[in-house]
Amino acid sequence: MLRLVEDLRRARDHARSRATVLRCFGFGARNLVINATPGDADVMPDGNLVKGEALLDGVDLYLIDRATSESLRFPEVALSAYGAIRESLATEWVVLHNPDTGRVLALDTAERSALYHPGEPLPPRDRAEFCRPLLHWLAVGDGNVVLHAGAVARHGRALIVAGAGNAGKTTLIRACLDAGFAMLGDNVVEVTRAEHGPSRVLGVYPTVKVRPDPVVPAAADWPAPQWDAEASKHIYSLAGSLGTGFTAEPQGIAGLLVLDPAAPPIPEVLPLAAAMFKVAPNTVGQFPLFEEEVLRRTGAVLGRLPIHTVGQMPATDIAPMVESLLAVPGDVTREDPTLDVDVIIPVHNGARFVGEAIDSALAQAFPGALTVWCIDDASTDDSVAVLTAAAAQDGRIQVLRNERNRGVAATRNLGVQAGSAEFIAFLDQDDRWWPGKLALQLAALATGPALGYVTGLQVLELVEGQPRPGWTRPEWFERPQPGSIPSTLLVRRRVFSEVGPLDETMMHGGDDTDWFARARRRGIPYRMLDVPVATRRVHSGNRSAAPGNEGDLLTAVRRHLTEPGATP
Amino acid sequence: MDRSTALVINHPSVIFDVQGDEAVIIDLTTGRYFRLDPPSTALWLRFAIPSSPESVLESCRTPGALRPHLDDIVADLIGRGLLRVPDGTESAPNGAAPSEPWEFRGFALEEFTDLEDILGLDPIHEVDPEKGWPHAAPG
Repeated sequence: MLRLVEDLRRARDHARSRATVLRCFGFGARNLVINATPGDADVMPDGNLVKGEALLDGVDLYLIDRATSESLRFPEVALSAYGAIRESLATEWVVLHNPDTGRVLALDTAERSALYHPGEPLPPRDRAEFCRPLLHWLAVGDGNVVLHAGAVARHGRALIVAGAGNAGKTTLIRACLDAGFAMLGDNVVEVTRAEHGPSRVLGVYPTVKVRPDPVVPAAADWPAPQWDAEASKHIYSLAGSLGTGFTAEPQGIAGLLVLDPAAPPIPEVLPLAAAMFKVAPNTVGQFPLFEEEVLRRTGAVLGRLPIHTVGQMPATDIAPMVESLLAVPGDVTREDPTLDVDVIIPVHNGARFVGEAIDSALAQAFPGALTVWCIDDASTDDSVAVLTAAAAQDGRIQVLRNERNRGVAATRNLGVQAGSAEFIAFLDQDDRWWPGKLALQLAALATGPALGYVTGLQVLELVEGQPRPGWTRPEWFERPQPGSIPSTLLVRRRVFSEVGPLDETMMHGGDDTDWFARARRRGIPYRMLDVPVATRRVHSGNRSAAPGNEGDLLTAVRRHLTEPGATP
Repeated sequence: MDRSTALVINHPSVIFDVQGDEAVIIDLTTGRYFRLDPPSTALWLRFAIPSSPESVLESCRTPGALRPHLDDIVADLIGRGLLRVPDGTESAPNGAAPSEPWEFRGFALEEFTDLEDILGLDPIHEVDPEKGWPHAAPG
């Protein structure tokens, strides 16, 4: 291996000494400076690259001739499916060698220079193909990740668009270009690492692959395409013709949209795990040397984003749909008062667990402001002390008190009246929210202005050391359950007002059932997200057979049966 | 099911109350709810305490009318999870369990599923006075 490294260094020195032709290309997060001689014209990369304007901070690529390539002494090692010499990872060099074609691509990751010989003669379009592994190696080395996805942007906010081949990525991008969006790419984008700040996405190739019978035709002023026989698509290289339509500038990521013909025609939230299954295979498959790391980074990137999926829709609906998704809170740090949330936590003798509930609310990350209203309902334990101490630590916590016990419904209503935010969320004292609960639900509401409220799944958890209460079913604890409960609810304030306050005559917890049933009777559109948003703590103190609770539920159902708008 | 086997309303999974001779029933494990008209409620209430179909038949003023339908009605209620065999853990019923003779005038159970997601799992409310809700306002 060391002999090969010495060979590569000598070859680089030789190439440096004779290169006279320079070209610079934008290349994801970096420039690619191509050093060649006039004799290398037939292997010079062509097309599918953005011409860069600066030679600074570039990666030097040296085109080497056949004689130099053939003089390299490669070790007798098994090649990966990708033709890479895995042992090369032990050095700073990453080497791709295909003995069948004579292709060589060797990258010195320390010096950030590379040697390239395409092997057998390549058509012009394929002469840029070496960029893909080179880009991936550099991206991994820089801590970034390259996704098999396209991206569109407006006002500095980008939507990453993923999906299998022929899922409609290019159709979406074409429709968005017509609507004035910028395009970052239709097939490959690079996401920059961000430990603290927002992640950003960069375009890589200024190309659009269009099938022969496109849903949205190529624009009349686009240059003549090249035919990609492998993909059976026309490739339009648009760097010079799109003007501001193509951007290589990094854009803050607002979200990920996974195109799936089997999905409904209206965007719906996609769980992270499902998104990974749809996005990761293609992405990871192109990083044969770094699969595990790339998988981890892909998960880290997607885990911070609102993720939606959508099926086929009329072309005219695409741009408005993308616009709505760009309006949702994502991995972009900005304040938006229209996304403020009041969190209502009614407390009665809840000192033991309410701190965890509050912490789970304060940990929510989304662009709006959060106010946590903790209303003590005449507790006789240390609840007030716990709440007061928490408020002293965080100015977002407001503590209110009932002088006498008024019941959970009245206490929740008091919190609603105290706040003024656009959105209202409830959290019971024993429960806690999952990270991303509010961001996901705000995203769902943003995609459907007609939606009045959103819930999600609940995870039931036994208090440690306590047996499972007899009124529960074992399977309730095995997987997330539907959660039409206060702790999963996020509702627009105007919708809450329309449905009306919680019924304060229901003293035993049936008030939420009654509220949900009233909302149902009014026909208010809602959505239950198919992801867990809250953990519900179950202990022996909960019981199904509390006479008062039964009475409240039966009252709610009887009311539902008899009042106008009842489903039956 | 043998007509001599006692059956009882599947409490606590199934709760009900009666107003104006009409019963509303909720199956808390499925979130389904039911409505019974007064004649149907009269039969339903026979199972508020453990009762065999045979004893229900004996308490009926019109056994001839009930007999052809009783097995189907009981099988249907068991199939829906509304009746079960007593297991000795039965608590006091939350509806009156009449002992006087009654008259069979038909049985019609209306089932509703539109609140399944709301009523299912709903009993998990913090209702213990020591640990949380509820607390009725004093006085």
